[in-house]
Amino acid sequence: MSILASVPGRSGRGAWWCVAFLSVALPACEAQPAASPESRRAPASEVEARAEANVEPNKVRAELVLSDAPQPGQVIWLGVRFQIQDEWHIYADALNDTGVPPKVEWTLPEGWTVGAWVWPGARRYTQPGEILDHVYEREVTLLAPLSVPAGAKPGSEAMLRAKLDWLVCKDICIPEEQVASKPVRIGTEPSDAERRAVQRALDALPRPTRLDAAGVGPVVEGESKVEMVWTKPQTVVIEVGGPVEKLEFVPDRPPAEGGVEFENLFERGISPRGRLELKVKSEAPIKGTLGIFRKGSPRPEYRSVSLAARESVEDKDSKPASKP
Amino acid sequence: MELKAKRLLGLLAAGAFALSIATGTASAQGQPVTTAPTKEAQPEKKAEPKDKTEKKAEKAEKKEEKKDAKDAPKVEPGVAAPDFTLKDTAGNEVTLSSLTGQGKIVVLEWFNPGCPFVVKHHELNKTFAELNKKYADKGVVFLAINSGAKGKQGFGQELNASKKKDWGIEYPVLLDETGKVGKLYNAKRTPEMFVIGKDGKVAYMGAIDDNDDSKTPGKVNYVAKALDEILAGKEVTTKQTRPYGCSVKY
Repeated sequence: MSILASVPGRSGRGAWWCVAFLSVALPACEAQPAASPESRRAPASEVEARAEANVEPNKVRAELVLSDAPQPGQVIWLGVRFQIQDEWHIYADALNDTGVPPKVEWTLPEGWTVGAWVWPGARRYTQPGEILDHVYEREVTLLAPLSVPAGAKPGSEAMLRAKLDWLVCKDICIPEEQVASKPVRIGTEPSDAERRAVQRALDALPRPTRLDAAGVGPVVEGESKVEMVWTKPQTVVIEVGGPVEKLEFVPDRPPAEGGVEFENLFERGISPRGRLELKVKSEAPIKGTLGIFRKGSPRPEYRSVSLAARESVEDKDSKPASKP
Repeated sequence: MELKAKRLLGLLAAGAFALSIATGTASAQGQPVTTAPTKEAQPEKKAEPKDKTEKKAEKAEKKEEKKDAKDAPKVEPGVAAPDFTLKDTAGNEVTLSSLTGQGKIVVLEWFNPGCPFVVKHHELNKTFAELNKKYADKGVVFLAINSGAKGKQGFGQELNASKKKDWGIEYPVLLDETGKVGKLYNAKRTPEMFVIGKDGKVAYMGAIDDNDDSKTPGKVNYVAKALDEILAGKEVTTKQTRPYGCSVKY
């Protein structure tokens, strides 16, 4: 529990998800009580919509997975593994023109708590009309830290339950929902399949990149050198060291108020080289994820980057001033 | 603390990964977006000598700017709404400027009967029917526009005419099969809303409301808010929000 309390949350994103507790129901969650199986039947219109599109079964199947054996007082990863039918996609928690990311409401036994999801790097998905989204295809596992109560008895069982809904699209979109439940036993190891799903998600999580005052990221073995600077008003340049096959920038989902407006991210957010020049309509802070694709690498390297607001003009056009 | 927990803690702390206990369900997508003034790029001081790659990049940039310049001006709050003429499902022509010319306030709604978010506001909830009912006799004209292409979801005069009837849409559903008008407005989602004042300028653009859920309507209807303010002779306070919905099927 102390671990949970001490880790800073990403409030902007975390607050978006309604995480429900059995013991401490949050006021905002009360408006959406956990549905009983009877009340979970889709409204007539949705059934009709599905019949019309001839898509009775869900396109996405969700299951709960664990990273480790739950032990009293420990924090482990609880994942929702989404398996998505070929050609369909679900949405990442990023700046998207369309769609909405999946949502979850947890129901956990007393004393168990779960945090907000962390989001693996996503794929660019474009459509005619310069429509740009960031999506997951085939499979994605969204992880959340699960805190096991200190008083949990070894060998005892607990039921974890997630009420999930998501929008799944290809040329058309379908809202789907599902309840995923998982009985877990204190001290019992998860299956290899669960571990593998968790590992794939961990491998695809953006690695945090702390830029120094000059906009240069630290040199870490096995990671690319990243630079991100304001080069002039409303212009940000991102450079990545070494030969790059493709570089993408995916802005975070904007906060409730404010947020940076990107100009033509459809074209500017992707490059066949290690350099991107972003145009923005403000000097506000910029946060997002870089996808670095290299020849021969099995998967892209994802790096989360965050650039402070551009301070007032004048003498800052060529170089960012160093801070004490 | 055991090893696993430590490892996890390391991961968590290193990434500052989300661990905030969620405190609400407010949607980020339907929230107001502050509209930064679109000032011209400020004159740039001469920087240090440029290398080849930078020059190349500059060239590419110029080319792009040229291309952009050819395009129509960007639709945003305060600019004149581009005029158009489209046929509705009954074959009648509707011209924007002839409506604004009569002093009407015009609300454009990008439409696709197959989109769940359109279904949300036309079928699961009567958001649009109620809006139209409330404002029709106050000089407000609603127009739905379907910019879907042939062969794509929601296309076709017959389908749109029958959905108009089924859903009790008492205003024209315009067919923009080439997507020309949609692209003129840079409309990307259904529903995506534009409120055009009597002066023919865009007074509001963005989401219909502040809840991007596929079933539950929001607490704030931005279109109603903008219309109320216009009708009261006030300045529209929320001029632009981030729309949510399906993609327009161009």
